[in-house]
Parts: sequence; C-alpha cells; structure tokens
Amino acid sequence: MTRVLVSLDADLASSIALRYACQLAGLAGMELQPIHVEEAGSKGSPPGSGWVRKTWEAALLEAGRDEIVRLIDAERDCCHGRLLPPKLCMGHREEEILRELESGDYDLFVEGTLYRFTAADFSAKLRSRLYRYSPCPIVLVRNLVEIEKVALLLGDGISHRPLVEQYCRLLGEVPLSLDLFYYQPRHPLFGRDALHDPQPVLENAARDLAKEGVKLGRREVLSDSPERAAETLRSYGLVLAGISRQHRKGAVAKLLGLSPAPCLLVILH
Amino acid sequence: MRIVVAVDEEPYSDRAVEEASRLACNTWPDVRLLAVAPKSGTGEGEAPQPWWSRLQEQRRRFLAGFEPGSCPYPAEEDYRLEQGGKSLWEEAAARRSTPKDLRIRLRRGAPAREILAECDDMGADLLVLGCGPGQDCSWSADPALPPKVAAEAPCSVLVVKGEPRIEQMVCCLDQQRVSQASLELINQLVTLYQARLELVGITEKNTLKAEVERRMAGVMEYYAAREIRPWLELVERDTLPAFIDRQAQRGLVALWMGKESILQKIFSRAKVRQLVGVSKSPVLILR
Repeated sequence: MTRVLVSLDADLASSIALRYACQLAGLAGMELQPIHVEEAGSKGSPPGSGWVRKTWEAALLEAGRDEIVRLIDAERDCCHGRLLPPKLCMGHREEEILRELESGDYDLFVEGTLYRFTAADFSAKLRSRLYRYSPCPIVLVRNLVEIEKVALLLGDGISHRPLVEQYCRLLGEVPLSLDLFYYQPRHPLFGRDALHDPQPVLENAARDLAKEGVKLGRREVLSDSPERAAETLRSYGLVLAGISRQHRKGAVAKLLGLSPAPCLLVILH
Repeated sequence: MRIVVAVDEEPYSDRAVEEASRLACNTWPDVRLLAVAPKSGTGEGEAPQPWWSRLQEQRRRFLAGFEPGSCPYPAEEDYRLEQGGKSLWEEAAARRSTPKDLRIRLRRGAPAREILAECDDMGADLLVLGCGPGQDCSWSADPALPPKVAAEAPCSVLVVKGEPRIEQMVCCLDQQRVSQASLELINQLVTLYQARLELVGITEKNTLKAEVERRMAGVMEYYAAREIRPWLELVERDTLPAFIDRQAQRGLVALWMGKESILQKIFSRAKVRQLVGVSKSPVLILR
C-alpha cells in the first residue's frame, strides 16, 4: 500500500490538504500518516532550559495535539483512505519532516498552502531544503478540487521517464483521464523555432505510458504566457511535473507557481 | 430581498431587466423597475411618454422570464396607475394576491440622484442596472451614471455589461463579517451563471489575519454544503488593484465593501468607477 505523509497544522491550508489527501487515498488505496511539527519559536521564545523548557514544550505539544486531532476527526468520516493516528514532534518543521520522510519509507508527501496571486511563495518552497532533498514526490495542495483529470507536464531539459514512472507507480491503476503537455513558451524574439523540438519528447512519453497500459487523452504543446497556460491547467485535479535544481527558475516552475491546481512534484536529483 | 432595477430607453437596459428576472426566478424578491425622466415644467397629470410605455414594456420583459403558473408577481392586467407625488408615478397591483410585489415607478429629476433616492426609499438590498459596452460603461442621458451609482449606492450593486456568459466570480474578502444576504446573493449568481467561484483573502505583509482565515473556511464550508466548491486565493493588499484589473477582464468581480473593509480604503469611489468602466463583464459591489 502506498504510504503518504501528510503535514498538518491547525489552519485552512491543512484542512484542504487533508481532504485532498483523503480523496487521493480513496482513489488509489493509500495509507495516510498525518504529522504535525510544533515549532517552539512560533509561540514565543522558549523559557529557560532543562526541566522548565521540557515542561513548556510538552504543554505546547499537547495543545497542538488537541488542534490536530480535532482537524482529523472533522475529516475522518469522509476520508476514504486509511488514516493513521497523527505523529507529533517538536522542532524545526522542515528538518523533522525530512527526517520522518527518510526514516519512514514514504512514497509521497502531501502539504497544503493557500494559492497566492504572485508566485514568490512557490519559488521559496522550491528553494527550501524540504523540496530540494525530499526522498519522495511532493503533492502541494493549493485548492480543493475533484481529481478527475490529471495533467502530466513536460518541459525543456526535463526527462519524461521519472514522471511516467511515478505516475504509473502512484496512479497507474486508477481510471483517470490523463493529458500530456509540453510547456514551451514562445520565445519573444525567435518564436519556437530556436528551441528544442517538443514533439519527440511527447511521443516518447506517450509511448512509455502506453506500454504501461495508461490511456492518454490530449497531447499538446502549450506555448502561451505562464498566466494563460496556468489557466489551461486550472481544470485539472492534479498536475504532475518534474523539478530539478537547474529548473527551479525555468518555464515549468514559473507556470506551476501561477497555477492554482494541486501539483505533484517529482524531485529530480 | 428587495431589488431596484434602474432602466433607461437603451437596449442594455433590456439585458439588465432580463438578468434581474433570472435572479428573481431563484430568489423571489420584491422588485421595483425604475426609470427617471428629465425634469419639466409640469409635474402633474398623466405619466410622461415614451417613458411610461417603455417601463410597461420592461415589466412584460421581466415577467416573461417566469414559467406560467410559477410567477410570484401579479399578472400584467392587475396593475393600476397612481401618482404618488408631484414627480412620481407608480403602477402596482391594486389588490395583491401574489406572494411578491412588483411595481414600475417613474421619477423626474437627475437620474443618478433619483436612483439613489429610490434605493434609500425602498430599503433595497440590490440595485441592478445595465450600461453600454466599452470602457466608459455609460448611460445615454448621463454618461457617468453607472460608475457613479455603483460607487455611491447604499446597497449592493450589480452592473450588467459585456458578455452575458460569466465564467468566474471573484469575491474579495478581508473582514470577518460578511452578511448572510451577501453570501446568498453570491450563491444565487454562481448558480445562475454556472460560474466558478473564487474567494480571495487579502493579506497584509504576506500575512492573512486569523479571523479572515476562519471566515474563509466558514464561507468555503457554506458553499461546499451547497455543492459549490470555491477556489481560494490570497492577494497581498498592495497588489490588489492589479489583481482586480486582471480579473475584471475575465469574469464577474464581486467586492465586499463593508464599512470595516480595507477595500473601502483601497477602492476609493474613483477606483470603483474605474473598475465598472474597465471590466469586460458584470461587476457586483456587495455592501
């Protein structure tokens, strides 16, 4: 069974992420492990050291536990996947989640964030340690949408193989409609002629998906501005894309930053 | 719910009446169809033509939106003319046997002032009016009227313009208090236009106030219970005008402009006028 770590805080973004994860788990038979990291600094400076500090941290963790349990209980009845009791810990959020992802052998990490008009928030996420070193793909939930259609997004310099592999591993058995896109915005001076030819990449990806028995819908090159292309992706319940260190500032990353749809990021090391 | 529909003699007013009729099919409000004739020396006597016959025609248009047998308003033949004052004519049902009230009213005077007075007089929840296409969104008798009344009306205002097809409604939320009437109006419009609803939380220094976040969650649940799944978006206060400008090109923009709203500060009357002008689709100002 696919193991999914879901990061939760007591906020709207987490509530959306949990609902979305439940939907995903119901579709693909996943086991959800919620995790909440209480960051000491977020509730003021820790007092003293030793016993005093430990007592203070225990009280914070207990308060956090109550909020997270309430959040989970509110969703439990509608959650179709297997929802495990939450793990709670104190520390630096990213470090603790990375540690859990490495030690827990998870297949997927899910977290929520509210979509913003500017893409700065998304860029910061891509620069974070968690997104650079995550051992498994990450689903970033920015809106609660029905997962009926999935888009697989390719771009210049991004290999299609890890994306196809992850799609088949996580969702290959689910009867979803999958569309394949290659994002190559028109060059302001040279149009598209001076860039890589996307057609062979699209054909190879389609062929590899077909080999795995995945039925493909649309197959298309998107060449609009990131804003317009993001609108095209809005109708998808999940956008699967690859992100690597070199492509954190690339066209695909820019497009994903502006797309309000949930995205599944395969970290290409 | 009480709605004033302000009309003049131009075709865009026909569309405003049709949209008001579609809205009324779902909400059954009390409705006043209002026209304003220019001032003249004599105020008494028969209602001035061609205004009066134009209003009667608009009433027929409004009632035509209802299925026979399901109309909550009096039938066409039940209305009687009354002169309510020196510069006011009204036709209402002489004896009301229907659940809801529909009347046509003609005032004399400056159109913008009379429309605002009518909203006050009725205690209207919503003013609906149309305007011409293009950037100026004008009325033939008073070009600046639609933006002016949208900015100054004491109630919510729906300016019907542009494409009748509305793909999305963008509702900006920056305060804890949002009236039930506003939520219901949005609900009705989303259903009416089969539009996508986008709820926008306004942040300051990249932070969303806890009470606004709670309110967003509440509004999301409210619509989820009505099988409407809104999209959520956060917009920094400084970038809000740019955001609204972009959205105005795509679909109906609804702004919640309560007394405590920072939208009231960011969107001065001049900005509301500008928004009504530049928007390619209807604009809804919720108050």
